[in-house]
Amino acid sequence: MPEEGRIVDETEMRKVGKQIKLPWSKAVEIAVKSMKIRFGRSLVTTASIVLAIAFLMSILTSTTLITSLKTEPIRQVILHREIHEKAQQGFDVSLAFPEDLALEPTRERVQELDKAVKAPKISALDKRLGQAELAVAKLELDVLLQSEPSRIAQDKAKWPILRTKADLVRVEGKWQLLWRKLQKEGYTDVELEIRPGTPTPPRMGFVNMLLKQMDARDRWLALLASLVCFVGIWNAMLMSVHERFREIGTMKCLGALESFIVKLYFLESSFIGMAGTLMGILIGFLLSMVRAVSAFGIGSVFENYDFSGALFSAIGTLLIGSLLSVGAAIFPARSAAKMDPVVAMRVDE
Amino acid sequence: MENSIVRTRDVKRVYKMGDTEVHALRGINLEIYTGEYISIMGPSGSGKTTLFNMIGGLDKPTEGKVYIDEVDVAQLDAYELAWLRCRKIGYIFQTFNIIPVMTALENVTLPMTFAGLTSDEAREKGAMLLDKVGLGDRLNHKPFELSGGQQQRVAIARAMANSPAVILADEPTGNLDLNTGSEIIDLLKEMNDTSKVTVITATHDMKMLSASDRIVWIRDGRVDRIEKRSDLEIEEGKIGGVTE
Repeated sequence: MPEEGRIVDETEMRKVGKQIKLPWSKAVEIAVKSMKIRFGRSLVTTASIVLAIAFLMSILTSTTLITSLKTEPIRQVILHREIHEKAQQGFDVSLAFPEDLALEPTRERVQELDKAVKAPKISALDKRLGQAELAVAKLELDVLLQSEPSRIAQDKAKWPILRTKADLVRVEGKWQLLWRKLQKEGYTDVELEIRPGTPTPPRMGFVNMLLKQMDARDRWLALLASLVCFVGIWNAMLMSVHERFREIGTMKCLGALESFIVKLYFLESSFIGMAGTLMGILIGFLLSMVRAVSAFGIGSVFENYDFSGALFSAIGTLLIGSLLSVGAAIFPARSAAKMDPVVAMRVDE
Repeated sequence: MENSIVRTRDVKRVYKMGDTEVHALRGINLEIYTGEYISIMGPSGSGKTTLFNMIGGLDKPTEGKVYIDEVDVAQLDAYELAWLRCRKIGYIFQTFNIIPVMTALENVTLPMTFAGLTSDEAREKGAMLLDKVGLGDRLNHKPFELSGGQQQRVAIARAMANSPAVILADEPTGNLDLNTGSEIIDLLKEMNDTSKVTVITATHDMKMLSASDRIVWIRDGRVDRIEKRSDLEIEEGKIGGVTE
């Protein structure tokens, strides 16, 4: 019985109080500690995320890259050599380019052209036309590949014109072959040039935007990669729950609430996820840049590439990575939280 | 009469394993008083562990009541149970269960954090407790840098963190050698004497008998007999025979 005149707090009156909820900062502190000590194991999990995210990022960056390389609204891609130089060497350059493009492609001129041609959206007919043209372009590239390098450089009129944004991706391999062949023969100044061109800023829904940038095969691969990453984190977290049954049981015996254990696991998984995702983004971006530069030449990539597109892809990928890692932790965190404190008493294992 | 801190009334516990029912406890009536040092003894399978978990609020009876500090454990919700475990009961395990990612001091302060103490208060109290168990110079050691005996000392300090009413020690000497085991028993006895904390142990260790005020023998889910230390000292020879 409480003595008279003494202030008795509520918990004493009720005999049993309610356990308080701990702030996130405490959970962060503990999660960071347990990550540190399991660094090696975390690294394996992180590696799977890094790979999956790097893949996703490289697909997205490649596609935004192609998007920014392609021309709007004319969608004309032509191979360009240093015209004047070649003309001086005796080549007939007038064959290679339409008259208005046969001049030196200054930035002003490109902008002028861009303003001049404000074509309406491509119609369905245009699309079909584009498909037909792509087939022709592929054939033309094949023919070019069979020809003598000197002839290739000469007969620019025979070089294909690509109209739709995906076409460039589809003939990329052939274009690379051709470019290498020309390089081998000393035509080192051959570059892919696109004009006139400004990339269209993304205005559709975010997911649509990401999806639109990939073709079906890429979408499938990206989905697989995400799934692997998801299962990887899930499994790693579940393993960590089973391995730490005694630790979790002990914490519950010491007065940890279920919500605290959930916090702990969510934090751990999102730390792993974040670290992996950031690394993956960096690696994926660098890889796709290397690939693009080797395919299109360093000048054309850095002049035309819209880096805000890359930033956009990075943010998207970061979001996907975080969602994956947090989503994958839901079940393991729950099973940890529901764990009976009695397990702390278990002696086996 | 002394205050009872733990009281069980006709506690039964039935586990269902498929179609068969296992009667782990068949009606236990037990009263443990504040400040006592109690050992629960019995062969494995006797229901000793079940009873022990029941007293510690880790398991709920199928029938009957368990009162910890006059509170019916079965009536408590998750928050109240956590509160009870945090403040009223200190657990000590056979496997020490020191959180491996934390230092000795952090292990001791963890339950204080759960109880809402600020870091500074917790650190001060934790250092004091670790000093009391003889680890004043090892505050920042990680568990793997400590011997088994030292880890169990950390566990005792951790159990004392929120000045609990009861310390529950499950085979505290089970993973320790003879000498270290004796030291741990002495330390528990010291805590019992100085802090007046009730100590309840489940054990096979005969060394524990001399420290205990009473020994509760469990057999087949029932209390076989309860012996007082005073009786025991006279019949010391006989005790050895019983456990054979």
